[in-house]
Amino acid sequence: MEPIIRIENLCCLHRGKTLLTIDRFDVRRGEVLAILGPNGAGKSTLFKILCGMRSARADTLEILDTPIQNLSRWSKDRLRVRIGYIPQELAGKCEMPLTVREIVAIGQTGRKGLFRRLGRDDRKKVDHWLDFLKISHLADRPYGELSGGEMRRVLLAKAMVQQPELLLLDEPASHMDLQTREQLVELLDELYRQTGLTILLVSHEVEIIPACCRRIVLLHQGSIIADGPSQIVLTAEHVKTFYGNNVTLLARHNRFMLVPRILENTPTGSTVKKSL
Amino acid sequence: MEWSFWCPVMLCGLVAGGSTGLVGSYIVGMRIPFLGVCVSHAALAGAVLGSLLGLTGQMLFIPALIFALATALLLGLLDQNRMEGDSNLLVGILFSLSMGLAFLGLGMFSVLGKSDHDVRQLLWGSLLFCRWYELKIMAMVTAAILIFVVLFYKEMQALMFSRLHATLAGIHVAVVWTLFLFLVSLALTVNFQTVGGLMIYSLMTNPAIAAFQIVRGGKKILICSAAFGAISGLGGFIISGLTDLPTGAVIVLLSSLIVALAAIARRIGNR
Repeated sequence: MEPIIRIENLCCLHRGKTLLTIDRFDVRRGEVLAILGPNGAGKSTLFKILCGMRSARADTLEILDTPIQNLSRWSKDRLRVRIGYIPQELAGKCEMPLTVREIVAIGQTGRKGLFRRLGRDDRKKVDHWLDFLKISHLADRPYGELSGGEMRRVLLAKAMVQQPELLLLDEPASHMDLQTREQLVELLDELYRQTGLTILLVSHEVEIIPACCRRIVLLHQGSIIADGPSQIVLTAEHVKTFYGNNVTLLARHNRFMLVPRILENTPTGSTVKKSL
Repeated sequence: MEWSFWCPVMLCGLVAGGSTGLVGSYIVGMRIPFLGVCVSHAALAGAVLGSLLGLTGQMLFIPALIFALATALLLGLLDQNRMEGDSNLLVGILFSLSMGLAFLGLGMFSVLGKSDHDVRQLLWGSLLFCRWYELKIMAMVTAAILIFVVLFYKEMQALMFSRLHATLAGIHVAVVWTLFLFLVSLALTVNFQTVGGLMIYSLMTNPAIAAFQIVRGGKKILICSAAFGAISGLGGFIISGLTDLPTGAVIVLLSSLIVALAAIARRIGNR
């Protein structure tokens, strides 16, 4: 499969501090990968570099076959149309009176270009993704009245309407309760099954990693410390580095969960199988 | 009734209120009311300093616009990613700086032994500036704003939601945003002689705040906000013309009343 992201010898500095150094990082079309790391590991920085919102020095830095280092502002805008990036912040200004439908339609605005109106086909696409993400019933509600989980799905719909070739999700499950999170994980699985889209997600939680994700990258203090299939990457040692001594990782059907270590030794914990 | 006086006054009120209300809905939607405050006070400072240099009448428009544009571009084109801390800090500095300049200019009049009567009208607003000539300029600016809103409707809607999300959707934010800043400066500058430099800002935000209380959806917000603005402008000018009260103050009170009524209507509607 052709590479969709190619990075070689990347270094991102900010005020003399190194935020991110990557020797080599490739993503092929159709891959789903999770980038795990504690806060401040450089996860969001990586995403910002990928969509041209932060500059970095690199020998190679290509997204969707486009070297982005010396790209003009205009060309960067054109490139962003092909990338669906959902940042961590929800843009959740309360009282935002625009309706969900209007906000999802923003995804088409860039693709359409200046001076062209959105037509019936565009509205159909909006409806399709509202339906797919199970938020059709919210279509005419103002965005400001939604819950955090609903907002996240609206932003996902907005990104999908963009018809992206690459989906970047930054901490998609932050501030979500268990049920909402599981709904989102299922949706991501379903999305991948139907579209085969390349999906990158960054998180500090292992619970958000959907089953369709076959590759995990561990980011620690601005550099990649492990990259590969989950069984190889999520070793006891790495879990200890990331989450401390007091937790154990459980794995089943390519889903993961962290539990306190106490559970291993107590009678109630005996039913919990240690998978790794 | 003297129609030669009232006709341009009423039209000016309608046009001034409508155009600022329209622009204001984006300002309020983007949560950047400070932009309006800063720009209008910069325009005021520009006009006062221009007047000090001996400019009169329509010529005051030029330094006012230059100051307004400089402030708008300085505030608006700052790279949010690159700027550390809160842009509100810069707003605070610019706001007090422009106010300081304006009042320094006013003080200079008495130091130099000139009459500052004309300039004081710039602060509070005066219907004396509502003549056919001013109306023509106001109408041209309003037409420019309308054309902009129609041409860039979908882009501005995205910007109203979030500049970050607009950027991520691949919208040419820099182009649309710069044009918008230019129009905001223009709208504030042409209107502040009549409404008053200290008050014009509320004519920009109050109608939109009221509209946000009671309607949903992008188009309705724009229409409603422009309508509230036009009502405030027209009503304010008429009351001011009848009573000789300063236009700016009357408009602020009237538009605040509309905000209050809208808030009450919303509470009742929610019940």
